Amino acid sequence: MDGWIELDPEWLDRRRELNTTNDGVEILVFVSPYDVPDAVRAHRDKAADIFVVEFRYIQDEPWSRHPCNRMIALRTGSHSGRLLGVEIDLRKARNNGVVTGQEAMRVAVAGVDSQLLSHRHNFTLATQILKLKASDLIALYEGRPRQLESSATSVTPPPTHRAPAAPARRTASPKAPQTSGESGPA
Amino acid sequence: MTNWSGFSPPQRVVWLTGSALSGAAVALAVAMNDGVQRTAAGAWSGFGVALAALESNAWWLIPTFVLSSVTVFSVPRLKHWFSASPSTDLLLDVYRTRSFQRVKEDARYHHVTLFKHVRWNVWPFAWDGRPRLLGRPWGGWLTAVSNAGPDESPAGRTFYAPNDALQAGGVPGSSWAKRSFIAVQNLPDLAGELRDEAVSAYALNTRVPQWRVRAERPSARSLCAFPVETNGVPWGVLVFTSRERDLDLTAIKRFHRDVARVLGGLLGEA
Repeated sequence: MDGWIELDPEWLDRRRELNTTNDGVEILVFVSPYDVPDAVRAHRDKAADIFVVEFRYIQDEPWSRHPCNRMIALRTGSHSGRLLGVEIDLRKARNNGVVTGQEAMRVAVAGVDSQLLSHRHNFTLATQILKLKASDLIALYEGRPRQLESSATSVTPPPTHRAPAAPARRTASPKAPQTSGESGPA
Repeated sequence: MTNWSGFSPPQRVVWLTGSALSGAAVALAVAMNDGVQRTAAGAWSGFGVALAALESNAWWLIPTFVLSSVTVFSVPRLKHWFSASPSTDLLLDVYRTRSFQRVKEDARYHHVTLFKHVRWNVWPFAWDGRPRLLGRPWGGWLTAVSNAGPDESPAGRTFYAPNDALQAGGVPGSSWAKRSFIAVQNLPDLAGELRDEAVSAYALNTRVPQWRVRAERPSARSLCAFPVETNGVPWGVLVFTSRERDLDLTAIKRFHRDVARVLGGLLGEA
């Protein structure tokens, strides 16, 4: 499964802090390159009745699943703790009156925001991406074809036919959703 | 049951040799038991004689076997504490080439150094001047394992790197503790006359003691450091230093994004 929406890590990895001392020395602090996602994708898992938003980074790692609230569960890296995915339980979302994609994205962002203290910089970036790519993610949530948009981040159009074998870097990614169990594959 | 599929051939030899020596030490200690010796002597007198000979030499045989097995197990690990693999050295050279493409200064002033994070410090003094016994020897340290760039050896370069950023030494230590990419640019030039203000500013902004700055007179006017990982596990810190007033941070990050998987794979093998 492909369907990654490419992001611009250089744009996302903007300067976080800049201190210029009296001596003219500049001290710049950025997020670790490992904390900046380079792509995002979303899909429905009909078997598990969940909608999953996944983030891709420069390296892979196993993930574990952490329920965040009644509707949302987060997939976080087993070693790093960074956010690899957000799961929305569609049945529970419907029961709680969350029907539209916009409402679902709002719930997802609130779920990630509530966990900011655990891995602040990476989760903040993930929240920004959810907001930046909201129109694409909403379209996927509602089963509509995604529309190209012009934004600060680049967008790769979805494949219109069966995609050829992707390079290893693109296929090795946050893992495919699991229908059972609480942890991802190594 | 050992799963040999995860071991390279040299590792298998190490494990087999170490296990054989450990087994020999244990078997010898058991054979020295009087009951075992009497039973063996009764069953076969020649074996009893051999056991008696072993017993008389046990005082040096058992420690020798134990020490040999410890050495066989630990030496390959110690090697990786102090040096990176040749492939990693080669990759650092490429990092250096790609990161300092636009610089105008003499190429010998640009370095890329890889630091490995280790629990214990094995050097008496850290490069950031923190005495080992006054810091915490077990608190976590960054020790240089590879350097790309001429005229400078990384041996002995060590920074105190606990998880507390306030305690961490040097820019590499801060980068490790904060898990962040940190760049310090436009540092004072220490090449000419050494002014107190310049030394003070250099020491303050690089988190290194002033006496060390005076002694070493670092040539770098800019540096950056960021943690490197293998499969999500923090491994160490990569440090870029340059005589230029500033670094091409975009080029450094871009190239790292391209090869992070390769570097992670190489470090994971070490």
